[in-house]
Amino acid sequence: MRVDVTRRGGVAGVALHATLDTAELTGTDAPRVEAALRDLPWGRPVPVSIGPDRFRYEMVTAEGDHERRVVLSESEIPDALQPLLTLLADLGQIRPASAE
Amino acid sequence: MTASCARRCIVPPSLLYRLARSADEAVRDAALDALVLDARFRLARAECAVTLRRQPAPVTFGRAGGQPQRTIYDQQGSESQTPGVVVRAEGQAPSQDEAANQAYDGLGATYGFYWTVFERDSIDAAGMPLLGLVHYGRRYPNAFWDGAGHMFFGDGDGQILTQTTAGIDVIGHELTHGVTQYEANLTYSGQSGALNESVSDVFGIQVKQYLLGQDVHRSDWLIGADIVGPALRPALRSMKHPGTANAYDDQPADMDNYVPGGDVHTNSGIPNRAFYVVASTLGGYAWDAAGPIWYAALADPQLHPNATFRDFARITLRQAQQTYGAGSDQAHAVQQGWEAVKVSL
Ligand SMILES: [Zn+2]
Repeated sequence: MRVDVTRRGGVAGVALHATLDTAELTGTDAPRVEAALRDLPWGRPVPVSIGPDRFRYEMVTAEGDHERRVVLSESEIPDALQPLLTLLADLGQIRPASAE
Repeated sequence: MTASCARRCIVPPSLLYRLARSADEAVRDAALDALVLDARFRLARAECAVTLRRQPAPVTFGRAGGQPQRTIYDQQGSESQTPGVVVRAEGQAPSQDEAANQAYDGLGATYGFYWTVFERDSIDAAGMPLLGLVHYGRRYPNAFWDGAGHMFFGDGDGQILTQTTAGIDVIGHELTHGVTQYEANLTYSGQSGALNESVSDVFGIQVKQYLLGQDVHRSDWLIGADIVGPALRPALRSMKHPGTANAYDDQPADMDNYVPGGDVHTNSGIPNRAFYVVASTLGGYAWDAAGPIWYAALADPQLHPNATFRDFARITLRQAQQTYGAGSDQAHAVQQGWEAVKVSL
């Protein structure tokens, strides 16, 4: 399962982006992350503002030709998704804070 | 100057702050006395203003102020929002933990700045305890105020950020998010969000300058220079030249380059530079006049949560005119600051 992840916000004022594939995860992580991804509240309205300097994560997946998107505050990230965020930290590319 | 003169004469607060740091004990005492009187006038004015709109601050009996109440907790790599193990409480000797000592000292310096310069007693102006939570998360490249009395500090990922407690301006930045919440409570999106961010940088840099004794010309006006990792060197933001702090810095330096829908850390470059221009035009220390004008604007009951840059700019100008006079250098400098970033007053 491929997912586009962008971390935004934070005092540093930069974004971090990666296109990740759950196939890159090891052992039992892949099925757990995939299950957690499926359970995310895809398509819900984007939160207007979260706390100062908090991280938020924008996730985009493609299902067929249908694109789904969700923005989560860091406090909403389920534990099961942590391996995905570790992958983002390792492989992510830094981008300007307001980059698309 | 004699003690009686300092009490009788009309002396601008900026001069009084300078005199209060004088080596001459008589001058120092006289200046401090005058500052207390001046603060009482300000308080009386503020209390009148507060009744117009905001709730008055709770009266805290038996608290003289001037003394922080710090507790530093070790989160031990957890992302739990509940305070962990106490590593250093107020008055205790330094611990073995460098980050804990940096947080303790940085919160103390920030408290001292707000108290000495503005007579503000902590985040809520009523002696709120300062709770610093260090080693939050694993390699967490961030620090934040949680809106509920806690300041969290990550150890950094070693690329974007290193140990976040190492930046006194960053500690000042986070504590100021708390101050803003208790004053204008600027909504954290759009222009009000960028103002919220800028106010944190404006007071964060002053805490650093104050601690280092730097005047406006000696300061580098860089935010986060002590906590950036190799990817973002030399700093996170430049208040003097927004957009030039590192390879990814997308801050605009004026309204012509405002980023619609941009991150609050992007558009904060505009009010950041306005403050830099005001302070550097006036010279001396940033907290002589520019800082007090910005502080008065932040605490002004007419600054509403959804304020635009222009709303804020007009309040800074009115504050400068009221405190220093309509034709004063300070009022002119404020006009120049907002003109430089193309915010029309
Ligand atoms: Zn901030």
